Amino acid sequence: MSDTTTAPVDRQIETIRRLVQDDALLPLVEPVLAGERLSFDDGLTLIESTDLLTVGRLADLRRRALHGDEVFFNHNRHINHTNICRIKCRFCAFSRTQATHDGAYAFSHDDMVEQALEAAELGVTEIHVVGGEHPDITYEWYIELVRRMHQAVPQIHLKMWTASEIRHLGRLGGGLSDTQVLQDLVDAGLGSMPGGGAEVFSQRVRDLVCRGKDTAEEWLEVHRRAHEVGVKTNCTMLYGHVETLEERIDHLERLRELQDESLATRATFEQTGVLPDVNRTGTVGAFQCFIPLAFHPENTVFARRGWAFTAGSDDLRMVAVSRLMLDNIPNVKAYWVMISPELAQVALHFGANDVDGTVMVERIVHMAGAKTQQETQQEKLVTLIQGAGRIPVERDTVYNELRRWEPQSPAGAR
Amino acid sequence: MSDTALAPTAGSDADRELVARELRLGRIDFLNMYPMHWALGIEPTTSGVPTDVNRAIIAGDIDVACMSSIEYARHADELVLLPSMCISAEGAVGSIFAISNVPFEDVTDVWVTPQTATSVVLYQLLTRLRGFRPEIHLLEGAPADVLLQGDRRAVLLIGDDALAARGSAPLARHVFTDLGERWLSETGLPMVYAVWAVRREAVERAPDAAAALDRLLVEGVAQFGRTEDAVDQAAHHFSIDPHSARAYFDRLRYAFGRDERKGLLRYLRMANEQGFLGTVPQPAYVEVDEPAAGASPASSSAVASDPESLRRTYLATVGSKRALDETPEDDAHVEMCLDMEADGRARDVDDVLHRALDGQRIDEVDALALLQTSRLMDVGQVAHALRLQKTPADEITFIVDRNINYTNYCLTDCGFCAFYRRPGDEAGGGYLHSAETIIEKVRETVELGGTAALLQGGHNPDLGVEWYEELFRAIKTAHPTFHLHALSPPEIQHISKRSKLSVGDVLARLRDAGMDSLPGGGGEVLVDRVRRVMAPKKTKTDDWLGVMRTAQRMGMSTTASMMYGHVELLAERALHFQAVRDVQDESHGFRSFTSWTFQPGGTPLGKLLEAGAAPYQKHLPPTPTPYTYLLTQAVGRIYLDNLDNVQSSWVTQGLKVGQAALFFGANDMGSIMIEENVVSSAGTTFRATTEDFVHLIGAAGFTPVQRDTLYRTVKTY
Repeated sequence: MSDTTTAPVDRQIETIRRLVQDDALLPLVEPVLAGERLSFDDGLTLIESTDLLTVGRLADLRRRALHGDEVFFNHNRHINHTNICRIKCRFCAFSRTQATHDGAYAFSHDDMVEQALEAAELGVTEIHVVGGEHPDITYEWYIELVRRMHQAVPQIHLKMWTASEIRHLGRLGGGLSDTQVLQDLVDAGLGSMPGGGAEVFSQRVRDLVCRGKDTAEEWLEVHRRAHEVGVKTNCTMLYGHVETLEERIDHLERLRELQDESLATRATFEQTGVLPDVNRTGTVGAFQCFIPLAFHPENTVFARRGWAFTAGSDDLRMVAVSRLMLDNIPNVKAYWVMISPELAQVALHFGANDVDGTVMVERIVHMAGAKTQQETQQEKLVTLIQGAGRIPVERDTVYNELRRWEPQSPAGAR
Repeated sequence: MSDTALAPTAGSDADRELVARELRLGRIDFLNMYPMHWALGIEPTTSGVPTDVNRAIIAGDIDVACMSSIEYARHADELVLLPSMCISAEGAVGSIFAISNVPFEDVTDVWVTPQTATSVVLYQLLTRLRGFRPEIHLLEGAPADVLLQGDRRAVLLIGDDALAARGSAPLARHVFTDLGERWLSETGLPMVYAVWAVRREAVERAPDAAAALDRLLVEGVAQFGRTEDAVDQAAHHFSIDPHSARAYFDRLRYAFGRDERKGLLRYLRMANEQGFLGTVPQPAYVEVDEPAAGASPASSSAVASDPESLRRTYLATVGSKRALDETPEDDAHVEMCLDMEADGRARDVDDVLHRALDGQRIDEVDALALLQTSRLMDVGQVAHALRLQKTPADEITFIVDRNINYTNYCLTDCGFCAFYRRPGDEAGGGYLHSAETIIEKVRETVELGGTAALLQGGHNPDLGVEWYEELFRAIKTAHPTFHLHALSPPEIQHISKRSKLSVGDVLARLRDAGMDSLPGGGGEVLVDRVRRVMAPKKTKTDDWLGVMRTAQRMGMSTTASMMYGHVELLAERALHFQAVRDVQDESHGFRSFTSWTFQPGGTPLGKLLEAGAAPYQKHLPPTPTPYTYLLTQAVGRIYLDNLDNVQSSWVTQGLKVGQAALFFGANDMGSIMIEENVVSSAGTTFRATTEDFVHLIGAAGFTPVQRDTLYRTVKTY
């Protein structure tokens, strides 16, 4: 039988050496196989290479070493509690700066609880909440929201608010520390934090696209504190606008550095049993997953300037280079809502081992014109993963396996 | 709608009498209402357009009607709903369109008819979700005129007007946004267009009659779905062809299930938020017993979908009683294919790939082994390496041309086609472009920097060779250097039969009139067993190849293609590759090869496959995914060693995968497709511009080169 998902590793290396189009990649083969850390320059070599398939194949070798043939997805629902926002990020097609603007909305606690109950009925295991930084909501409103939702659906994991919003909460609370805000949220029932709002860390880029939003250091600091308090988080990069390739690699490096720190704290705890002073949860958090987010210019100021959507090859190399550079972050996600389910399937051979979830009602992306249907059945994701020769595994938010679909017979009738 | 000669037998006569005696019924004379009123077989007190019927029930002139959702909501206090029935669609409904001369989001003014309020509100909710508010005007006069008289305009058409507008020539170039489809993508829910409402006092007076009505509807609509003649009768009554009617009923749902109720509530809640209602109603429902056994409303589509009746419908559609037979000859052929597949699985994939890289020719079983493997990256990388050797390594080409589908009238009834109309079915959207229209399209193409047209159409019985000669001469007189890439082999064969000329004579005359090259359309899968299932009346393999051989011997350039992922076995894809390569060895007349996956949306063949009712279905490979697509393209590149150009199919795969395909053996992105009717009829709609292509090719690290049909450079970017 020649029909295995991937050839044995030594055969693959032979193939890489034989088929490589860009010789600059050859020196990276051994380090990648050995799981060695790649440098900034290595990252640039990878991302600048036009030999997409060799880059993808190297990333796939790393993915395979970490995850075998398993690909994760979950049952999740996204709720954006408001689209009214004090900041005017230029890549955002979602926000309204005034409550009186067309289409502006802000959900009440009751609205949110109702939607959470609806989600529970659908068998969702995670609710993902992010929204605008509404200037007129109080700190207590946020904390109470988490409490009410957690009480209503205690079985559902609440993954809520980006770093920028945590900072916003601190300001609303009259200058509370990140740690304080995070502790209050955890006490109220917060499960973990999503990775949005990282955009691209370069200040040059942030000045161009999201002036007024928190800086890279602030974003990283919030996640540092979250990990310390015991909150697991995700991380992202919004690519495909004004950033350079160097700035993309720089972004990945900064994430990698913070993850080193958090993993070191965790290791210390595991060896000594000593937790950071602020930690009341009994665990140390870290990044669980990196999600490269393809920029959607539709309905933003960039569309009017003739900005194009990211090319499929760019999405694939971003997945691959992330997998290779982020050696200390376990999972890399091909987020199908952003890059289309079709390309997400292909990305499973370029280093991705997660496709996100069933994603109900993702308002932010869809207002920017992503054409994917908001509600995709589990069946579609399972078919997509199996079609790529991989094993679908439903996970919870913190990557515990909930269900797996064992490989089918190769005949696979319709 | 009095011609219910073919009365339903489902439901009890006692129920029917009770309802007829106790309740005054209203009826909207739209096609979507037909199955329910057929089911009842009760003469209405009032009938007319939605506004008439809505008004009658609100005024208390009638007791019950299936009425517009929004009008129900405005008077929900006085009305009680039947719990089992509504009219909804999950996604495209096919009869509610915003037709605009710019993309949906760019519309500033919209013209609506007063006939229904539900769709007008729906349109406004959908626009506001996207942050814009077109101004509403009342439509008087022809929709096409309104659209012509200014930019950024839309016309909202519903019901039978919308059915007629779809495919009508004056509107063909506009953007059709199906509001049902849009609603689904915004909310993930079905859209409920109409509900059965009973006046509260009538329910209090005659609760049993209301319950009986619900029962009659559930049982009768299920029977409608099983009664083919009833669909034909509906089609006849509304003067549309049965094929279109069936497709339409297939999209509609009549069951008022959990999702439909959620969809209705979501709609009403949003309508209220946006100021179209004073309050969100809490619907009250008529009390009924358990749903009748055997008529579960969950089997919601009005047309039956059990495999047996699907097979009957399919055979009637493709016009052959034998299309789905599994004959002894087929058995032997399939057995041979399965043996070949076993041989393929026994091959060492690495060995096959190494031989290919060494420049050796691989055989059909080798190709099959590659199609069977899930090692996409291995196959892709070899295909890419071979393509870099074969065509300029740093260039990716594309063409700016236009698909002109000159007619959609067709006699051939292919099971996979969502585009064609039966000859004479003008009401159902059939058309034949005049020479003036076609020349105008050519002129527009030239203006947009286009160099060629891909001219293909249905097998129209009215068109003999003279029609084409005149057309081609006229085009060439107006645009002498414009390239006519025209008429696939089945069309040539059709003309040859129609005009009683040999294929050679037809080709010679058309060439003399200005035809430059022949596209590879209609190739599908070049295995007769497959062709008999999917298109029994269409050109068989030898004839298809014969037309190509003849054209190539005359020095005409041609292309080859494969449309797969329907009723063919995996081995039959390899056999298709073999047929193409063998002819290419003889005459080297295929300029390029393109493969794409069957787009099942709305086609009879798609439904047949979905129901598991195709011949030898248990031996068919899984439905293709993008992964299959890339792998198949790569195998094509490796196996077809005597062909230079491989084109990716962004039209079927989307721009993301279509572009990534440049690393899996393709050296050409095909056409920007100024007009694409055939694929978009099946629901796959992607659009691109020259700028998009230049961006996408550049992003892959290659130089974008605009080429002409014969792969000569037009412009390097």
